[in-house]
This record gives sequence, structure tokens and C-alpha cells, in this order.
Amino acid sequence: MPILLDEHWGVDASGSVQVALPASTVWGQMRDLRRFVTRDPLHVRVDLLSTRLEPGAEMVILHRLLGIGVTRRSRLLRWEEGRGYAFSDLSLRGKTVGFPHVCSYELSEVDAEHAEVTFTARGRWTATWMPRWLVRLWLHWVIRDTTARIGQELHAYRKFLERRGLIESMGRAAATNERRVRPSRIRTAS
Amino acid sequence: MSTNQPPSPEVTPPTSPRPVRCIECAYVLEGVPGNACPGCSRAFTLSDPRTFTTKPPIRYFAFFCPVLILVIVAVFASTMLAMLSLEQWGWGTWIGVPLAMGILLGYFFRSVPIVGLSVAILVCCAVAMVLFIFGSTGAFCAFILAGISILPLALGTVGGGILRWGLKRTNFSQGAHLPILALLAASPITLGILASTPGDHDILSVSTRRDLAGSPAAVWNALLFFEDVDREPPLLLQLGLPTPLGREGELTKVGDRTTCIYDSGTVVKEATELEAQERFAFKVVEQDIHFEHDVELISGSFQLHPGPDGGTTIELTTTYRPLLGPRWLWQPIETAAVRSLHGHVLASIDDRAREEAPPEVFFAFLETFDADLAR
Repeated sequence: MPILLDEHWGVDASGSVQVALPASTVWGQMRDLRRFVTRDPLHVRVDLLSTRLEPGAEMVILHRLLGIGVTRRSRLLRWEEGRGYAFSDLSLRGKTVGFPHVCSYELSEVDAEHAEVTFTARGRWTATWMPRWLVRLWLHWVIRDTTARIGQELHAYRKFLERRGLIESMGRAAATNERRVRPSRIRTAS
Repeated sequence: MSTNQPPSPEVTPPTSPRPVRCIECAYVLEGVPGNACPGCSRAFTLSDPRTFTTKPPIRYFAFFCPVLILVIVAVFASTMLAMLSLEQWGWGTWIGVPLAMGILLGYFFRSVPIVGLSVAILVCCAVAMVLFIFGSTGAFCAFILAGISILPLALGTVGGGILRWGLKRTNFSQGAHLPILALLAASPITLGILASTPGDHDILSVSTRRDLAGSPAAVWNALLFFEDVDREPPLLLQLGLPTPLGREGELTKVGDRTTCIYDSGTVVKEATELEAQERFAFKVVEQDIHFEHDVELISGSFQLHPGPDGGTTIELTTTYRPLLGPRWLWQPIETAAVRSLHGHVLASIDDRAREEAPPEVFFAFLETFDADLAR
């Protein structure tokens, strides 16, 4: 989980989580951007201002922590069906204040039965009055919690599929991300 | 749908807040061309609502069920234990509630040892601070209550983390708990209504005996209340008791009243016994110092006996009715606080008796009394 904070307060933080699901199955859930983005502990709701969700579409993301927060503007920067998407996260006060950054969610295939979701935040930290160790701690918590929630959601989704008999139960070993190749009714990447 | 193939130009990202999903595997179908789910190949038709759903597969209310059940069981068990074994329903508040809070924290925070326990400690301190700020209790009691709460809070946090860890390793269907949840929810609510009467504790007296160098007459002349002591009280009293500001009204005979003024209210005392150089006793007739939920002051007394080497043995007694429980925890604390107060008062009496301070404040009638003896 690299957290990079350079001398100019540039931020490059990322975290990833592997899940025992095919990449195409995971993408079926990631496609719901407005819901998936709220796995970030600070993102409560995403409102779409444009009629279509396509690169350039404007959004508003409600940020809250313990009931306190701000509303920030956003724009979808990239959408790659089956691979991931990226969007900007900017303050309403301007694009040079309030930690302007870009969030991206990338999906990659580990093998036929496993996928990896990577969450990345890149930008510039503008609250330079804060000590660097505190900024790193904050970023560490956000990245860690986001990836944990993504993993939790996808783990629960896997349980959902197992209960419906759509994917053979891999037992407790699969729940701990141990790799096994088993036949599945969910179509894998071909 | 393959991650290795270039994106189809026909596929568009979903825009709805609750996009259409496959009714079988919950794959987000909005924007996907054709009429077959890319996930499980089940057919769907957007014109037929029976072939799709808008409900996400993750039911967060069902996710909350196991932890809610554990919380209710924990509160119920602690309340029952208190009621059946100790006849003290207050445990439900100061043991069961922190236990429940801890379970919730441990269940929802992934990093239990660091984040969960840290938040548990912060919550504990925050609750105590809120009680103190809003005047529900003094700083000392708030500190003690935070100390009482921290252990069940920490245990609950660990318990919630264990519950989450265990559930992750099972295929347990959380939705099946809903009927059990409704059934269990009725029990603690009913118990709480039935057990709403506070505990009734026996009246306690705490006495402190000390040998003073002054003669009984000097000590008698030097008697004073806690409110009359002009030296700074010990830290325990500063934290646990309201700050005395003064006193109004003099005690010249049995039945006279004096009003002791504190920063948080007043206490009115009435003299009940006045035997010169032997005994002074009073009762508390009014109490309004924001401690009414903690203790009911009953009475107090100073008993003097001739001591060794011409000195005086004085015994200061405070009688009160405790209102806090569990008694095994609060009684030693109350005893320590009362003894500290006694020591503070007796030390001042000793100093005044050594200085043979004139009876300025306490007994205004002494000059008259001595004059009567002289006749």
C-alpha cells in the first residue's frame, strides 16, 4: 500500500484487494459507479449532473465523515468498460485548493477465478500546515478503509452468489484469498 | 464480458442511482446491449420488470443483524445478571451500554486492535466529558464512570471483532436473523420498563477520629464546616465535590439553620444537638448541589472527648444515603472522598485550636454562653 507524498506535497496513494471472483463478475458490480465509489469512507453519495455518464460528465460527490463534510465537484475522466474508470475530485472553491485529486478504480485479472481491484488517489495536498506524518496517516487510513470496504463488498457478493448456487463454494480457503481453480457457472474471461 | 477485449462501443455506463441488475447474479445491466446477462447468461427484457431487479445484492440491514443481536443479548444478559444477582439495574447502564457500544465498534472497524480500541477509549472519555459539561455529574464522578466503562467497552470491541472474523469464515445467511431480532428486541425493552425503579440503599455513616493537641474548649471554639475552611482542599475533593463559596446564617441554638453556598448550589443545615465542648450535630434539610442522583446527605456531627496529654479526641461523622451502584465499586470511593473531606476539616480545626482562634465564625453564641456561666 504505497503512500507517496513528495516534497511538493504531491500525493500518489494506492491500495489493492484481491477477491476470489472472476474479473468479469467483479466488473458487473464495479459498473455501478455511483454506488461503488461510495465504498470510499468519505464518499456518501454521487449525483450526476449530466444526462449521460461518459468521459467529461459532471458529477457532485457528497463527502461526509461522522456527519461533517463538504460537497465537491467531480468529472468523469475515463471509462474503460471491463477495466475501470477515473474521475476528478475537486473543491467547489476552486481547483487549486482543498486537495484536488483524481481517483481511479482499476480492475485486473489475476487468473481465471481471481481478480484484483486497485484504488488510486493522485493529486496535491494543499493543507500544508499539517505535519507530513499526519497527512500520511490520514491517506493511509482512507486507502486502507476504501480497499477494505471494496473487499468486504465483493466478499459479500461472493457469498450472495454461493447461496444462489451460481458459484461453487470454495470453502474457507477461498474466503482467505487462497488461489484455487474450480469450475464456475459464472462465465470467466475468454 | 472480458477484460482483455477492447470495450464495445455499444456498452454505455449506467447513469441511474439504482441501475437495472440481473435478477439472478445482480450484474449491472444498464447500458449493456442485447438481452442476455454477461455474467450468468440469463435472459432479460427491459420492458418486463420480472426479468430484472434494481436491488443491490448486498443488504446492509441484514449485515447489521448479527451485531445487533449480539448487542441486544449482551445488554439483556448484563441487565439480567444485575437484577437477579445484585438487585442493581444500574449495571445495564454502565456495563451493558459500553459493552454494546464496544461490540458495534469492533464489528464495524476492520482494524480492531488499533482503530477500534482507540475509538472505544475516545468514546468513553467523550461520554464522561459530556456528562461533566452538562452538569450531570462532577469531574471526579465522570472520571470514575469513564473508568468503569472502559473495560466493558474494550471487551465489547474485541467481541465485535471476533464476531466479524467468525462470520467472514461462514456462509451464514444474515437475513434469517430478522425474526430472531424482533423476538429478542422485545425482551430488554420489557425488562427495562419493569426494572425502572432505582435501587434503595441503606444509610451509611463514615466517621473519622483524630487526636488534637488543643483542649476541648479550644477545639470547640475552633469547630468549623467544610465551607468555612479557607485552605485549598485536596485534589480528590477539588475533583469530586463542588467548590464551597461561603455560608449564610449562624447557629446559635438548636433549630437554627445555615445555608452553605457552593458553585453548583446550596445545602441547608439545621443544628440538632449543641452540647458545649462535647457534641455538635446537624441535619441536612435541603440539598441542591447537582449531586442529588449520587448521594443524599442526611446529617453530620462532631463528638469531642478529652484526649491524651490534655488534648482532645474528636470524631467527625457524616451520614448519607448512597444512590450509586454497584456498591462494591462506589462505596470505597465514597468512603475515600468522605475521609478526605474529614481530614481536610479536622486539619483546619487542629490549626485553629493551636492558634486559639477566637470563635468568630462558627459559634456566635459562645460569648453569651460563657457570660451566662459566669453569672
